[in-house]
Amino acid sequence: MSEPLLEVRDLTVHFPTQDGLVKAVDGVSFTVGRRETLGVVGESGSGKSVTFLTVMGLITRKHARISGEIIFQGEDLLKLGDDGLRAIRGAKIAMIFQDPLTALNPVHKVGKQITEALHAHREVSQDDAWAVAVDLLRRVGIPRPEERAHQYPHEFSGGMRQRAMIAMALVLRPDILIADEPTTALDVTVQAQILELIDGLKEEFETAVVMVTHDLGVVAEYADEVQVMYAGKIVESGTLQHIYYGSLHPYTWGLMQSISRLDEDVDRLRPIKGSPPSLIDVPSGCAFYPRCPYRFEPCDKEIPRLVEEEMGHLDACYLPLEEKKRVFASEVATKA
Amino acid sequence: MPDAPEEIPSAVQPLPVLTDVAVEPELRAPPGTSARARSPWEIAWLRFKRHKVAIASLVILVIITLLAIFASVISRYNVHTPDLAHALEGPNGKHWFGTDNTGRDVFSRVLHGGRISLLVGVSVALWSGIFGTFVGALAGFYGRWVDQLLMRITDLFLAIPFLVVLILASSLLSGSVFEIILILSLFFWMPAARIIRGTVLSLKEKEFVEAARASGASNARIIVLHILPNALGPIIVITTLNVAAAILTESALSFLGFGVQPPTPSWGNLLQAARGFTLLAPWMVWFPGLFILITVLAVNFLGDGLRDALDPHQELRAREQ
Repeated sequence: MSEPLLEVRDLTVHFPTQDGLVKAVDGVSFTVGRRETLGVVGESGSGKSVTFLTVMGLITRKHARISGEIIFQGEDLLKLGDDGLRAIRGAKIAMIFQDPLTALNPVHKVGKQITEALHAHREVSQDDAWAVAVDLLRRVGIPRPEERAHQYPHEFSGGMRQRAMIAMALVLRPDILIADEPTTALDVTVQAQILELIDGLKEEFETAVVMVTHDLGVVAEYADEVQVMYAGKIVESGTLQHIYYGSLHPYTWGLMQSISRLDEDVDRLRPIKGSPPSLIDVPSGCAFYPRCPYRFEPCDKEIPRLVEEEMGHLDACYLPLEEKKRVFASEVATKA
Repeated sequence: MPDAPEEIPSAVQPLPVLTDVAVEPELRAPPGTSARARSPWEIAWLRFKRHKVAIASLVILVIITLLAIFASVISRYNVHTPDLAHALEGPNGKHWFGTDNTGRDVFSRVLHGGRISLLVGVSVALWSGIFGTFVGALAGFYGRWVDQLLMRITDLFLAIPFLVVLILASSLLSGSVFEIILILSLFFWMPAARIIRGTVLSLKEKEFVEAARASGASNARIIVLHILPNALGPIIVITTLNVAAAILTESALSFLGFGVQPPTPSWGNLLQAARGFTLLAPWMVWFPGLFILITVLAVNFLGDGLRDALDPHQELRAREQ
């Protein structure tokens, strides 16, 4: 495997609040390779967004207690000052936000907003920037881009706004594109288009993509590597093959069983019982054990470590490997 | 002009048919209408136009302003030259607003007084608006100790009985128009600062600010290009309303004798000069008073109209109450 583009080591992000310390991200390590697509899956509050907002430098030590390392191109982003981070944001690492309705500024023309990063990082003339904006709008599949660039965000539909957001993120050909639930706010019919678009642009712009989502289906379609997060920790990670055809963690099983699928006749979905734990009072031991149907003796005592069960396939669960393989084969693979 | 058949932009790479272009329905403008983008400002102007009282106020203000600007062209009489032979004449064909106790033309003096009063009103509103926006934007954007410090200073200024300070200060100063503007501005920025702070507080949490930050925009760039344009509505409204308040305050100060000093006429000191002649020559009181009243009312109506046009949510809230 070539040298990773981004390497996060033991990242911890804790927010001090009046009610106590919110352990949003708790000892997370992973890598993103050049031109790979990493799918990050988890429920709301699993720490997936916070992890990548911290990578972007949008959550800083002003907001939270942060420890660990975020190595990007040989530099620890957590050690960079404001100016150093700003040089990377938008230019080397860019981000697409969840809600395109609110992520575009209502008072500026779409064409002007797309080139925000261009103006923030380079000296460019208005005319050149405008030409870039029109070109990008065309590439993200907006019809009549010359005309559309002159319009305001309220004249765009949701899907087109998300396309504009993607154009905005790609202006400077970033090495990593972080998409934080890019389709959650969109109609189902538009979701697939946007995902196809991101996947296509990934090839064209030779960028790595981090797809943060709660939708395993999205990950199945586009990701090379997958990591599953729960309560601020990675509970399982591996290649798409590993996760889909041999997932080892009960939480991942739960996620898979709670997806509805059109090609199979399932009478009832099987939701994961209970709700994610408060990040202030994380259960001792494995954070998932109160909801886990396979829990046994050691689960509430000590936090299971993330161990490599197979080549490149890590998970954090006390069940013996043979048992996990058996359960997956007999219960998850057949029913999900 | 009918559109030529649209060329479908080539997609990034061959993709499934469904996904190569945005397929959402396109709204086409009917032939003959312009398909030009409507900016938020044009939309606000359309809303403003529906507000008849505000439009009327705007017209009145334009007229008063023009009268003041071209005062020396419109009125044949010099503001300062006494004409004792025609002292205390009521309104007539030669002197439309009558004459004062030294025979000076009241019409001419009211118009020239309007220059000073409007100049003071607009200047004070602008300076206090700029300063208040600056303070409010910094406090709201940076928060923490910056906010604490700036807002406590704002509170301090609000707690000062400013008429007393103005009276004390003006006894030390010469009472020139420039000084009046300076001193009034010093006591007019606080409401603007508070309102802008609140607006910025809510705006800075918007996702488009986060998106701008994610694009690598600096704080200064974010404040100037992304936050303040969205706060222009409240800034314009408060500045407009401040014009009225400043005109009133200047009039009050001048009436008390601490504002603009005679012989330079202002609406306030015209009233002051008329004090001894209220019964003898009531026109000396009426006309400056009427101009103050109309101007202040018109400015306030204009401010209301602007608020409805620029900040429609507030109008809704007001109606619900």
